Amino acid sequence: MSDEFEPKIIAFVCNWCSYGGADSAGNSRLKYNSGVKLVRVMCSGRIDPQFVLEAYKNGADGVLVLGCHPGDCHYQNGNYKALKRAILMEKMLDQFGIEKDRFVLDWVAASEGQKFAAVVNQAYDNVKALGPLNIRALATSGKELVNE
Amino acid sequence: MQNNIGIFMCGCGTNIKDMVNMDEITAYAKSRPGVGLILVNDFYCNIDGKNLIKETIRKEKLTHVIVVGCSPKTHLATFEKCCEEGGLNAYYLQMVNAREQVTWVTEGKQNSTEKIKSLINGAVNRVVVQEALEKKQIDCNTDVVIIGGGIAGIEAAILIGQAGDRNVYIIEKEPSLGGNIVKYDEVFPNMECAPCMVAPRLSELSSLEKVKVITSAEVQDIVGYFGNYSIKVKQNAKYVDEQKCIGCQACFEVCPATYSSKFDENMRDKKAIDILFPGSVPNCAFIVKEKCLRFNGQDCTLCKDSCPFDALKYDDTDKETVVNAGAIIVATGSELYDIAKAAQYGYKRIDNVYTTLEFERIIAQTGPTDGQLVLKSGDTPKSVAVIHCAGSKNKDHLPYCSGICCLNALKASKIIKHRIPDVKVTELYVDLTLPGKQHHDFYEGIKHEGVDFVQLKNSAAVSIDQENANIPIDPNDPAGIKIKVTYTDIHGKTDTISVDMVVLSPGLVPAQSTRNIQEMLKLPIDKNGFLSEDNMKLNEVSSTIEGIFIAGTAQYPKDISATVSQALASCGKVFSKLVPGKKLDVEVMVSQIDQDLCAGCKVCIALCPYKAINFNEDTKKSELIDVLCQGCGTCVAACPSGAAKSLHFTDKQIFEEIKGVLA
Repeated sequence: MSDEFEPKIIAFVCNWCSYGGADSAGNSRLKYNSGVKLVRVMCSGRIDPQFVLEAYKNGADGVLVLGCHPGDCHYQNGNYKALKRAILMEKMLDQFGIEKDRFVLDWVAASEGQKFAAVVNQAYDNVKALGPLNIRALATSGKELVNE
Repeated sequence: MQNNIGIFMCGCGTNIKDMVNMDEITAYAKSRPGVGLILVNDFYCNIDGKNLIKETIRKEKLTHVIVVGCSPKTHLATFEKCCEEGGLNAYYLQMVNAREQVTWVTEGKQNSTEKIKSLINGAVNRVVVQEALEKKQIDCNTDVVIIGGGIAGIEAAILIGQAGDRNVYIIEKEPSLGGNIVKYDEVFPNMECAPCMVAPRLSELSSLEKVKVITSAEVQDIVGYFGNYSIKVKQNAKYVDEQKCIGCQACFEVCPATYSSKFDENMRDKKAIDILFPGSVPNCAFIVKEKCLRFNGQDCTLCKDSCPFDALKYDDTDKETVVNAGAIIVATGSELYDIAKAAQYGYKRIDNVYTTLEFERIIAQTGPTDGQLVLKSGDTPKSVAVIHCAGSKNKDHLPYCSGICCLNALKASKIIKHRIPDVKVTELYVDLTLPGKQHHDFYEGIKHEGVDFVQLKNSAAVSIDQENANIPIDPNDPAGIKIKVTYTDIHGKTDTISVDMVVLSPGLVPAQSTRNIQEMLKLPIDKNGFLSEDNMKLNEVSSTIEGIFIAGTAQYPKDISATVSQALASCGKVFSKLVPGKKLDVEVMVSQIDQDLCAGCKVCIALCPYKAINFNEDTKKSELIDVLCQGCGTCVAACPSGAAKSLHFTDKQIFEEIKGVLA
């Protein structure tokens, strides 16, 4: 293994649209970096800001939240709730010193394999350019980010 | 009990097997805590593979199962079934998507191998904190309440009533069924007589034993949930016994009082004891209390004296009843936009300017002019302007296209031309919206009957005024020209035509009763006020609340055929979901609210799209109605006290998965 920085990215995806979008990328054999790993939830509205923090704490250099396009949510409007939370999330991450490009909210439909690959590749490239998440040193030195 | 996880590693032919280092994966997986065994097989989705999983669960007494293979979107249900048949709760299963989300998208064998290893680690972490969930069923009432007795409600009631396996209640605010359709004389595109079309349907409905018709009735309150609704209904007194009256009309003749008939668009006065239209169901007279002399201080008993059936009940009172049902079909419909709000059309200000619905009443045999197409003066019109999009596609009125008004307008022209062959008819339109079977042919037919078509610049580019001295009155036309229509055409040219009559074709808006039910049930609405459907393409018959279905124009303007199709489709949903003698399956992966932790802040109630959370005023805590919950988990993400939990997607399970895949 080389010493080159290989970002770890967690993508929280909703079951109905974005998880399907990732499967579509697979069906079309579109490539993206293996450092991107998905965690499936039923709805982007289920994604608790704590999940995002937990991912950073456990070593993620970047986090994506992907849901259905506005108007397409399987549960009516869970994605709007994800959007509202993301706006607050971005403000909070900024205060933590976590760079803007380490958090991405986007919409990927189940048919959008191309878009899925493009979004995760872009996120990967952005995080790679930023380098490892420095705040991790803080978290592992005993200053917990999240109280479970 | 000690964990004994079985991992079933699928090679998926060559799709996974040839793209990874299988030995490295199996060695790693075997080393994970709690993993008892890992079996590699070419396929687990075929019969041998499935049997191998089932047998291994039994033989090895597995406590948890992980299948590493394709996407759960493809085979989650397959492997859940294997677990159940092998004697393991299906919620002790986790899948690793090693194909669609690893080997198919990753460059290099080693990268795929590493990624699968970390996903297996996440799955091992997660699966041991998963909880067994039991498939839940509840007792349900299979009866159906239909709100609205228009064509949608009538057809739905007949279909369910014909099945004969449950009671169906049809609740109508007017004294008899029929809705808007019976006000129309002929309907497009085949010019069928609407009352003639509906009459045999009403007679079919009346013959069905399990159909209960409740008229002059309003829904006051609805409580409960899918499978168990209680609907409180107030039935206004008719002062005539429905069991005795046969609608013979003897009382009409003697009644000295009159009222303005809304059924006839207030264009004529009818007797204060009345029937909406001949052949009404129920075929029973009703007294208009506000106008009846007896109810206004006079001692009149003429109707009672004239009745051969002793059907009058002056001491009748309004009744409140509660109807219990498992499902509700909302068929409360729509009404024409009040075009008086758009002053430019001169409606209600200028004589002989009518809406399409008033026009229908004028030409109807049972209408105010007994079917004579005449002006207010009694003369026959020599020229008529028919105006499309009155108030539609106009941001100040209705921004949308109702889709049915073009055909309605074209039909008016066709009827005018047929009744008065030498009349001059001008259609002023913006675009022609003519979808549907035979609809374009209908338009082509009218074009060849000598109707003039003028395309307007936009829907607002027309105004209607009283005739003035600027246009000389035709000496050969004794009735005189009354109305001038000024318009700007598509080329920007402004012109004026003078006509005797104007027929305006406005769009549809949700009926007042639709708005009432919407508020009562807190049903979501679209930006135009119509009821929102569960899915615009795949499921426009379900509302967003389980057990509340939509039929007809309460959802969006549509023609009779689309209305009836939706009504019948809503019955399909009812039949498939509520089966007499069977319990109701409810979603397993729902939320739970821990009553000890809930602080009663109500955040979850505001967020829940399914109205699945109630506030208990006694305990001051939020309670989940699990039959309504669809398991999105939005309440869980928002709960500030950690009282809400998402079954099979708990915080703990997700945290374990995150830790595992990042380790």
